[in-house]
Amino acid sequence: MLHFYLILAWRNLWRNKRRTFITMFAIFFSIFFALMMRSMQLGSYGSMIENTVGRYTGHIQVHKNGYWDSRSFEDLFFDEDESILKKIQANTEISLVAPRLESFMLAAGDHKSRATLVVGFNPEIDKHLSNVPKFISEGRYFNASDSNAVVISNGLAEYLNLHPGDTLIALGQGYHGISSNAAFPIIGIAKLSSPELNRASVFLPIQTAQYLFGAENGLTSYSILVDNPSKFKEIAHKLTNELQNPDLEIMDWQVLMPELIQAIEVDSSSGQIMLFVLYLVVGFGIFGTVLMMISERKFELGVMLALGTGRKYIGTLLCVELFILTLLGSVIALGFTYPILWYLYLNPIPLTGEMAEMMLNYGMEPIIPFAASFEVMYSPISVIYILIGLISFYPIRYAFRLNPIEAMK
Amino acid sequence: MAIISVSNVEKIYNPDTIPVHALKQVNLEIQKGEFTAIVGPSGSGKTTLLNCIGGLDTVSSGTIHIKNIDLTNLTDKELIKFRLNHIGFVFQAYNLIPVLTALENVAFILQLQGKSTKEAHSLAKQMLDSVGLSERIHNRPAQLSGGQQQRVAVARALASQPDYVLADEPTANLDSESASKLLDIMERLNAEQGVTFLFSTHDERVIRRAKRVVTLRDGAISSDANQ
Repeated sequence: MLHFYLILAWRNLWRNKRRTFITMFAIFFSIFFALMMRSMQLGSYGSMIENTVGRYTGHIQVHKNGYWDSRSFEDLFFDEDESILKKIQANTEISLVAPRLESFMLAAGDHKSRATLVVGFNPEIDKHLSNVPKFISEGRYFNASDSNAVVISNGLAEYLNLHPGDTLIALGQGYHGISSNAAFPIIGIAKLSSPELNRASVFLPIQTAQYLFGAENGLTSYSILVDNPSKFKEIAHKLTNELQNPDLEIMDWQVLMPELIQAIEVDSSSGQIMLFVLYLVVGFGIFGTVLMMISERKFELGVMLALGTGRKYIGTLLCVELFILTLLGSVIALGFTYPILWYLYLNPIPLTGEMAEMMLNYGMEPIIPFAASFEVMYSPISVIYILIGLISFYPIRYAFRLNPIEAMK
Repeated sequence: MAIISVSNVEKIYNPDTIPVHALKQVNLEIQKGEFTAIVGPSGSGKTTLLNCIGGLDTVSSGTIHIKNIDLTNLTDKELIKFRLNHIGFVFQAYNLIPVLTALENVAFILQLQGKSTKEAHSLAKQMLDSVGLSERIHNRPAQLSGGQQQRVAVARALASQPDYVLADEPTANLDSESASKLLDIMERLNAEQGVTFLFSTHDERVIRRAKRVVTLRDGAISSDANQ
């Protein structure tokens, strides 16, 4: 009987070709638009995450227990024999581990000073994470012989009116409260993507930082990049089990940077509202088609009921028609949209003019990135099918309330 | 024993507002193999009576027994099943499913009864053959003339091997030749296979051929005569 349902439903759909095509186009359009919009949103979020997380905090960080809350320089951990580092590096899903020693100091030029973040890092390793070399706007990045030099952020350089070749004075407190003061030659200035980091950051080799703060072998964190960013939670959990060290805390970027998640959620919500309006319009469009479909066949459905066709059968038949219509619309939409999305994922739309300049100023690539993950497809398609599921209550209700005599009048 | 037994049937539309007495104390018995026409002017209650006998409409009072089954006591679901297995319908406007071929229109009922597609198609072919449409089985209704469509409707009505066939103005939309051909087929099926036909009509061509004519006037039977 299923075969018969399908034949009857299929033929009924093509009784009114124009209506079927219009409805299919409505479904096609809603899925196309939703997919493009969602792909662009998720692509931008991915880019935001990569620009912010991938370029500074890393996907995962290892600290001494309590460091992230206290941010106290007393909460350092020491990895003299690099046993922690080796255990982390043993995880094959981790692509990079960057040791860091961070603190805050007062940075001064000739006439001004500003509280600044001081980052002691391994210039060779960290160039793959923080991308500082990529953002050098004046001077140069570290080379192997630069043990006692700094690269400062563009915002700080502008504020203190410093240039490569000038000297930066750093004043502050080190480990166990020792006084830490030093003068460093500036070798480069970096225009960083994060406005906060760009405002006041100083980068120097980690050994120099450890000496400056009187914390030999001391680290505030290991910043970790993973091969598959979507698996960061899983890997962080695995790492916790592998390290088995109660003195350490392993945090993923979502915990480290909740404000980024909030920003994404706020943006995502506005996008969802737009999509909701789109789905609502399309939903009413499809509902209108269902009303027409039923109304013009009222007589025929009455005859079927009179002849002994069960109400369940009539309701199912109408639902099957609706489902086939949706299936056609969604398959065509997916078949058409996905190659476009995939192309845009591989070849993001380049931005030009002021917009491109603005993005470059923030150290971001001047592109509109797209995502082509399962998540992009899943949401609009499932919403359309849920919508159809809800709409199908009407034909079912209609079939169960159909009066053959009224229908055949 | 009567195949259809209508006892003291009343049908009142809008009983709470402006009551309209469509049927008044109707008593009627139809024996197996009868070829009966219910006649009367428009609004006399012919279609209402047929609808009640066909389990399409409910009665306000009285009973309708079909082979000892009281239709008035059946639930909606039971009535649908009853119509499928016991009653054949022929409507004035043929009422075939437009997207199905003649063969599929007839087989549809058989498939609803639970027969396999193969069996249903085989029986449907036989039925269409018996109404002289073996050459047009793969045509859709739109490709058939009115007379041919009505013959498909007759084949569909008989396919389920019903206890009786209810035909509401079956010749109203047909020209003389088609009407005559249709009546010939019905008469033959009645004579050869003993199929019970009950018509509602005001077509003289049908009335002339009917073996029994029941006349309704203002919802009540005014005459009942064999001819």
